[in-house]
Amino acid sequence: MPQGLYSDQYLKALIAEKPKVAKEFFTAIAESEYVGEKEIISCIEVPDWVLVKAGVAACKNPNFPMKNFEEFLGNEETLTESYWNLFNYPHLKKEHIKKLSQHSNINVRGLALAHPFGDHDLLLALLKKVIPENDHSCHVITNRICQTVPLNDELFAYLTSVHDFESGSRTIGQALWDNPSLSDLHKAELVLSEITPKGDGNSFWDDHRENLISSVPYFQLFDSSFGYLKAKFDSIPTFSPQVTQFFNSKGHPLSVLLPEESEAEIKVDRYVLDDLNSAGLLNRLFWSELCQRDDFEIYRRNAYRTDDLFISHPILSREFEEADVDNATHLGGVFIFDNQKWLIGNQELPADRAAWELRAYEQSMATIVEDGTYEYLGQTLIAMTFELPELPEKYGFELTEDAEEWMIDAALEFAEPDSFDVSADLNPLFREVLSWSKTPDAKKLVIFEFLLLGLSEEESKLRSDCIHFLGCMALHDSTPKSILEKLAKIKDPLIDEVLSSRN
Amino acid sequence: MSSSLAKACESLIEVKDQFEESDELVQAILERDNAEDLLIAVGMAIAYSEDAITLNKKGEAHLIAASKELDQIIEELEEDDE
Repeated sequence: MPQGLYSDQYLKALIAEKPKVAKEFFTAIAESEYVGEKEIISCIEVPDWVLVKAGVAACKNPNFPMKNFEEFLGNEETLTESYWNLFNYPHLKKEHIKKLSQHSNINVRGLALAHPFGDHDLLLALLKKVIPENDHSCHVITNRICQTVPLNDELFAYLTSVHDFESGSRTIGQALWDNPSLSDLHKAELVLSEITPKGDGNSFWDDHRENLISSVPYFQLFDSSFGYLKAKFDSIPTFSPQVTQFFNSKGHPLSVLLPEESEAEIKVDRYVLDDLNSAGLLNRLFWSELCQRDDFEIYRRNAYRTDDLFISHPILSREFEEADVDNATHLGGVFIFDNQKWLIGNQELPADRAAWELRAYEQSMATIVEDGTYEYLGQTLIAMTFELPELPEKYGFELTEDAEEWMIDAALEFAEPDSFDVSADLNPLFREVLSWSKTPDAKKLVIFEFLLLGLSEEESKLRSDCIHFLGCMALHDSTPKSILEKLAKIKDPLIDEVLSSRN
Repeated sequence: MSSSLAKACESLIEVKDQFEESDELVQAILERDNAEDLLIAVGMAIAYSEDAITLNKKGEAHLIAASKELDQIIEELEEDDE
């Protein structure tokens, strides 16, 4: 499979067995703003007419029609603004490359010369001109050329001689490590020259990928929240129930969350575990019912650049409560609160925090004005009375009943998110369809196996999430004895402690 | 509200509006020994106009005096410009 593309077996089956339903499915996608999203344009089952609706980003898909691609190439503005996407097209021809190799834009020219059909002698000449001049108008050297160009010895020798050249947050040497044409001999030379791959500081979070396109109807069925994609997702017309019925019959992994028995075998697959764990589906599955317990409730906690949503429970939330408040989002089951539909959130700015936001701590109006802050001098005066209670008597004034609210309104304009007192709870108006107690036992076992699969992952957010949800499973009264026994065999300290608390 | 207090409040609020455009005015105020008192007066005038504070005699007198002093500062700056 070419890089960045995937095949969706459930969609493939729908196209083969129910072409009319598939057509309706694709029409709904094509009519929505969601059509340009990754899971759509990266799926090799998506037909050409849908990809055309997605625009230039869909060029990486082999189904993208040549005619439309050539129209993009012929449009100078599209070419110079979207060369990243255009050079992803898998059907680029020799004549395209020949023409693009002479383009006036250095990025277009560089990418064309680096293409397998490109002239690599000319590429070498271009690099020898651009790199010594430290010409950063060519943005594609490290992030594309060095990673994709078929390396010959001459090109490799030159690139390693300038391996320190940095662009796009990586050096040429680091980029070379990602080049699939790097031979064992080249690798040995890099090692001997102490040129190492770029260490990835964010690897903990980097296991994210796009969802399966066939998961989209389930997200709609579950009324999932999609953060910044919400508007695009909500623009998808309602899918026919036939679509999910068909996917259910094929054992789609998200059908495991539906309360009815499954006729098909649902295969446990690492690739789709992300889909199951996305959009808060597992949180909803367990938390909604566990919140009926006296010792389990939704807990929202904010800090600098963080607004975490988790639960409070004597065992399951202990690590979260003891963690650094600025750095707990990575813990299992925790996610960023973003007004998800199934939750209801409140926030208010207390008067003392509003006064702090207005810099009452300076205890000096002159200091504030000296810094060029003039807009809220009246409110700042009210704020300063929090730090200097003697101020009203000294200057001969008294605060009215409206003073505090007036000051808070001003601070709301610019207050940092962590200044607010926040809270959240389950949204009583949300029609929750996910229920662990209503899930058939056979499906409970499949969910257990999915989570167990997550445990075999290296340290990651996904792994931590799986441990948390297994802990929820251990706590829930509707977990069958057979699964409780399996949970005990995992020998995880958190799960064991929860299991012990049941007795 | 007495007419002199009303006038002082209006004048003090106008001074605040000039801060954005006139760095010189801000600097001239900050250079005064009683800069804090003058700026507090500006804040009081704004808060008073928004019904966020009430003033007693001492407060009224502070606003009127501060207004006069700030008018004087502005006048001096204008003379310097000429």
